[in-house]
Amino acid sequence: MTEKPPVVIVVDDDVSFRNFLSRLVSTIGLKTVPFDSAEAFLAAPAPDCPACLVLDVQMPGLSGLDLQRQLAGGSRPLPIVFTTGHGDIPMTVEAMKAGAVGFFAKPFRNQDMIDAIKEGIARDRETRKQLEELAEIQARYDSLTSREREVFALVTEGSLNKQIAHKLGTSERTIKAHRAQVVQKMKADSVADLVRMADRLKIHPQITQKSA
Amino acid sequence: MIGANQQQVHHKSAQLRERANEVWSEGALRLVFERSPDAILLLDDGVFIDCNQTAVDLLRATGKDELLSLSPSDLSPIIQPDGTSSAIKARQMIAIALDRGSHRFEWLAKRRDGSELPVEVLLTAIPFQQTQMLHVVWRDISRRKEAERQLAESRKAEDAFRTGQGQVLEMIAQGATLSDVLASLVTLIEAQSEGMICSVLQLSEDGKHIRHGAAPHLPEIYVQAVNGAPIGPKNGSCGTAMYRGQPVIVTDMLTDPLWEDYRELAKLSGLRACWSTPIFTGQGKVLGSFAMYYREPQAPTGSEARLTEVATHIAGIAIEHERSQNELQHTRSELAHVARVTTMGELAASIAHEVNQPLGAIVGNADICLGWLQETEVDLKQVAEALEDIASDGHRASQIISRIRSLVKKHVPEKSPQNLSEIAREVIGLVRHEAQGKHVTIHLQLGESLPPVEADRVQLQQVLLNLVMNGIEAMHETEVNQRQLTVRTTVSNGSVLAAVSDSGMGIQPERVEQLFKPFHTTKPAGMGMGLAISRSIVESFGGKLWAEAKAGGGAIFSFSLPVRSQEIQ
Repeated sequence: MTEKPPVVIVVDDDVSFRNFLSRLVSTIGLKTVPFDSAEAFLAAPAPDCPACLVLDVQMPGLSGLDLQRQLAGGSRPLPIVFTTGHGDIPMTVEAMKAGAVGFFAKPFRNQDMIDAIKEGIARDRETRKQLEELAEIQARYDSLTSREREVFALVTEGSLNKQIAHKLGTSERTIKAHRAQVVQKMKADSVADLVRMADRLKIHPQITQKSA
Repeated sequence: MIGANQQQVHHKSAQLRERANEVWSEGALRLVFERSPDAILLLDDGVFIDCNQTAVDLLRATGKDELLSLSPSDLSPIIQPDGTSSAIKARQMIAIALDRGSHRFEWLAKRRDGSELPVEVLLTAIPFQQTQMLHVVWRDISRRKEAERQLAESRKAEDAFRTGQGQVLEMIAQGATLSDVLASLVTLIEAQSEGMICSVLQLSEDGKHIRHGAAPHLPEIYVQAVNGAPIGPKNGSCGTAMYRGQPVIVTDMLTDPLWEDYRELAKLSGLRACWSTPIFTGQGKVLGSFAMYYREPQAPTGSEARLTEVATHIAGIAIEHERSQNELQHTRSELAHVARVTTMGELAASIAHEVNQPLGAIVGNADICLGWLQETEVDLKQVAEALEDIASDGHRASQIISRIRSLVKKHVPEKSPQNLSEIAREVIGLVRHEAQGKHVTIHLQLGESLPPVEADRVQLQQVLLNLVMNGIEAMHETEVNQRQLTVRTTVSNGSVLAAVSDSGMGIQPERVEQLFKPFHTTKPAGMGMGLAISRSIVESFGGKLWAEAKAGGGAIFSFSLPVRSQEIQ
């Protein structure tokens, strides 16, 4: 799978600053998608490529920090590099706590910004990878039968075949067959692999707890 | 004893009667008639039959014969001063005298040379051989009449002088310029005395130099030479009077030693006498001098003392009034300056943002250019574009700074034509970030092509800035999405109006006026001077500033300024 080229999304109400950032971003061979307000950015479709957000803290309407809060609730919180004309410490702390990649008071060193953008894109790339993997695991999990899902849950909980058979009221042989099916469908290399997938899928063996 | 005494009295009176009869019969009384200081004529049936020498002299006749050949109508003008015909009035007066025995009245007589003479007439009826003769006494009352006339005239002049003083004081009260007030004063004093030219001079604030006050009728060359001259112990009349703090009377400028250094000037200006009196403050400090000039050598007669007193008194009031007004104006502008600096302090964070925005782009773009220039192949077009952006951002930053500087630096307020919409736009530029930071949405409803108003630019910006900052502040407890501030400018009824309305906590109508009191504040960090200063600024340009509650919450602060007078036609 070849990756689409990453973009830098610039949200700043100051046109000359947007132009500068586009120019800066172009020096590292990347494209910019500019927006003059947080609202305009939210109205546009999410980028289908690794991306990093360069966001001005103070803007008319929704502020940079407001936008950060709003994005944090979504499935793919874009990495954010903040810029500000006049930042104070509480503002910086709030932004960094909420996961900002960087926080730069204007004027700043170009290299610092480039580094932050690169890190942001790397983070997003990682996020996208994780999301893709999760989607893949989810798809495999979705292909399991309901009995297989029960077996999957109990196996990843650490139960032995015998215990599972007893819990589900069936023979150990049958459980072995289900288990082989789960491992194959989930493309797992080992039980440890299965356990990791269950973690990613946030699967909890509800049934065992009930019947125990 | 008593009887003897009575006898004596009887005897005495009999003797007297006898003596009197003797005098009458001898015609001695004729001399009483002849020598009376009053003019006496005898009128018998409308014809003068006799007169004394005094009558001849009084009426300037050549002799008794001429006078007796005249009829009474020849000795009166056709009309008396009260407008009645002399002939008719004479008949009435005679009728009264005949009826009552005698009658006294005032009359205007006409002498033989045609001149008129006010007289008091006493007519006495004398029965004689079945007819009534009239004994006519004319007493010259021209002196009394003249005195009366002079008195009335001087009363009238006094009234006019007083009215004049009142008018000058009125000018001071109504804020006329000092030079207009002093010129009117000088003209008023001059009108009280023939041939006198007056001047008022001021003493400079440093107490060392003469400053022109008013001298509308002194030669221009003289006025100019005196303006700025130093005061001192031998510096003409005025310079010396101010120096000594005492009146200086110079009866001849061409010989007096005080004028030694200014002799030529006096000659050139055709002035010979100059009496100068210092003008004092209520506390006895010299403010200037008042001088009377004559074109001939002259010494005071004493009648000028009162004029001098009035002139120095009123001039003192006028100069002191002007100085205290100037001081007040100065203090006001200092206070306004402090308030501006305070406001700018409150805006510091927003201003930093505003300036850092272009600075950030400048530094960043310059850095990019440096990087490009280190490459082997330089794309000059790209570099040029970046440099153009740098230049335009630099320009922008400098504009912001000069706008702030103009608000922060001290300056003497000056009136010039201003466009309120333009000023509103500039002010909003300054508070844009402040408003954003506080989630306030600003709406502008600015009138296009508003007529100009006459005011000081910086002070108008200050007023609007203050109202906008108050509006933003008033909404700090309002729901974030409901913080709306509207700035509106419009023209109505010969005034330009600016209104700032907010959606904040509003104001109670009964508390509106309190808002404008100094040191009234609702803000924790506020000085409470903003609205008081804003109002005094607007009023100093002939406008009004007021507040009202907005229907549905919030407040509207408005001010109006008269359209510049040249624009009204």
